[in-house]
Amino acid sequence: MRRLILVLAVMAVAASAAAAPRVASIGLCGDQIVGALLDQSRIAGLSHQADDPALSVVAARARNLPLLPASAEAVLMAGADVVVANRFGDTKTVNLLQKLGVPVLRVDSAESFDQARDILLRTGDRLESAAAARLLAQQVENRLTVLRRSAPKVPPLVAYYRPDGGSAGTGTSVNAALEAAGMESLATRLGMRGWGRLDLETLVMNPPQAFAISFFGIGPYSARRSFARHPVARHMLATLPVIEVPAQLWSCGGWPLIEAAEFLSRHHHRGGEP
Amino acid sequence: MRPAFLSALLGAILSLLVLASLHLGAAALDSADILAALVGQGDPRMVTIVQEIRLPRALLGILVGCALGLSGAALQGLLRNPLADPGIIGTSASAGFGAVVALYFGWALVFPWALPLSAMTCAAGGTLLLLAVAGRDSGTLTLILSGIAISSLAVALTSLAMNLSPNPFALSEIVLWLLGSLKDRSLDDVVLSAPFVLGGGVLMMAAGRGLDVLTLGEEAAASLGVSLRRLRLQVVIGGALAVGAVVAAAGSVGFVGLVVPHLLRPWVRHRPSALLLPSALGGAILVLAADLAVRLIPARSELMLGVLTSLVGAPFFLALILKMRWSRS
Repeated sequence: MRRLILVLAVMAVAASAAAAPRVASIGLCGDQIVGALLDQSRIAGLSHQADDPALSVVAARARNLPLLPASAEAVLMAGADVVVANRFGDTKTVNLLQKLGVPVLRVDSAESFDQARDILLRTGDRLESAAAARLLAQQVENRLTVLRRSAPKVPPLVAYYRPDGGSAGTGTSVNAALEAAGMESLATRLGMRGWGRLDLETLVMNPPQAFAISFFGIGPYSARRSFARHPVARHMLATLPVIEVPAQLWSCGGWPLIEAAEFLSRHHHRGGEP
Repeated sequence: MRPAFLSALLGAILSLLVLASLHLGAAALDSADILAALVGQGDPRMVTIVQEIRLPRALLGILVGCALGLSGAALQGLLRNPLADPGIIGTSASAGFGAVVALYFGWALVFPWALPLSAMTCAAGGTLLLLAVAGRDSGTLTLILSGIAISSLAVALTSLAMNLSPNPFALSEIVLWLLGSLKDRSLDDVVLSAPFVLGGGVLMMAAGRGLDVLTLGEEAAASLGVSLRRLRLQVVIGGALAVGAVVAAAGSVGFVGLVVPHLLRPWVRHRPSALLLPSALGGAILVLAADLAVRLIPARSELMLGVLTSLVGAPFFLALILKMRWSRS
């Protein structure tokens, strides 16, 4: 009897595995969810950027998976039942796939931890791996609690910069990660909302205690390095503590934001590297 | 060469390119698979790929090429200048601006006709502005200079939209879209643009006799009973309809209208009317060949069609200017 139950259970698991949809991702936002939640057998492919360790948190996994160009034909041939795409871009490909009856989930880049959790849970639900999504969301929640406990009493003032001079104010993923790490974003203190530019003059007038920079090391990806090249910025970057956050942790806002926040916190405790 | 023979030859080359286009893609399909898929037989995935992905792509390539080649030939006849092209008189840039507006405000998502309608409205608006400035009794130079001014204005407005774009993703989408591509277009795109390309094409084809007479000079043409005003309107509106519709479907694909009529002109003994149909076919050949090339050139993400045609077309344009200067000196 026991053996019969075991056989039935195995058959049930096998049947549910067979019924679970195979998923393809054609953007970085999808890659980090699909790559984190699903078994190898259920991934029809990840995006062509997924194996780039400078942009993708699932680069190591992606090396053993098919990488798909964002084209309807490639997705169909990979045998995907569901496609996960970024919220913006590849409009024609997404329209065509939907027209051909392949459901496409458009995934936003989250701008807060709450939004990242909602996106993770909702996408996990739609991809029939709700349990894995709930587990990951809970882990992120626990790690956030730990971070908040170790936050400095007076939040250090940190200026976030990309090489083109772009910064991040309230309502952005970068601001959320800085806050979680117990820091205050200079752009936020100056009243910036959303993504924008923090010009050099403002920076000189309001010197931060440290810099958090990202995307500086990725040569070919940053054609506009006007900020990074300016002597004033170079001088400030050389004299103040600088935390260089790996770009893949927030290239698309999502669950890896917790890793960005932990990275910031860890390196702030070490004092950053001028 | 007789124009009919030239057209037949171009038609044959075009058919071969359509076949090649149906054969090329991420999935390896042989001729038997493709034939079966075309009539709806065989693996349903292959049927989908051939009927819904590759065939619309080839058909749209033909439409885009025909519209651009024909507009180029008609405009070169009207302006009696081999450097004329929908890009030069501002039609393409105006259409591009119209499409960017539709993308930027999200109209294109709500209502699929918004994109072509907005592109054609702006193409027609740019062209009407051109006619208002340089319409009646103005010389060719005025027309071309006005076209350049309108083109610059449209590019400036497009850049303004990108400058104000609140969202970096929307920005990259606009930029990529402006580079021109035929990837993943569906039959809807073909159906959406075909009526306008056909309408514009008929207007321009009907202008053939007037363009022939115009080679004798504007005064001679007027004395032979050709209404210059009507001829201009016919070609310019025909061009706006055709180019606006294809820009809306495929983005900006440059230089086709410049290169193709120029290459074919010696074969039709420099008669503008005889150049129209071959230029439409030649344009389709050039666009399909370029679209095959972007699929064959190995790259992580597919090259954009407009990038390739411009890479080939711009040096050609320079060579053409040099050749004209040398022949004058």
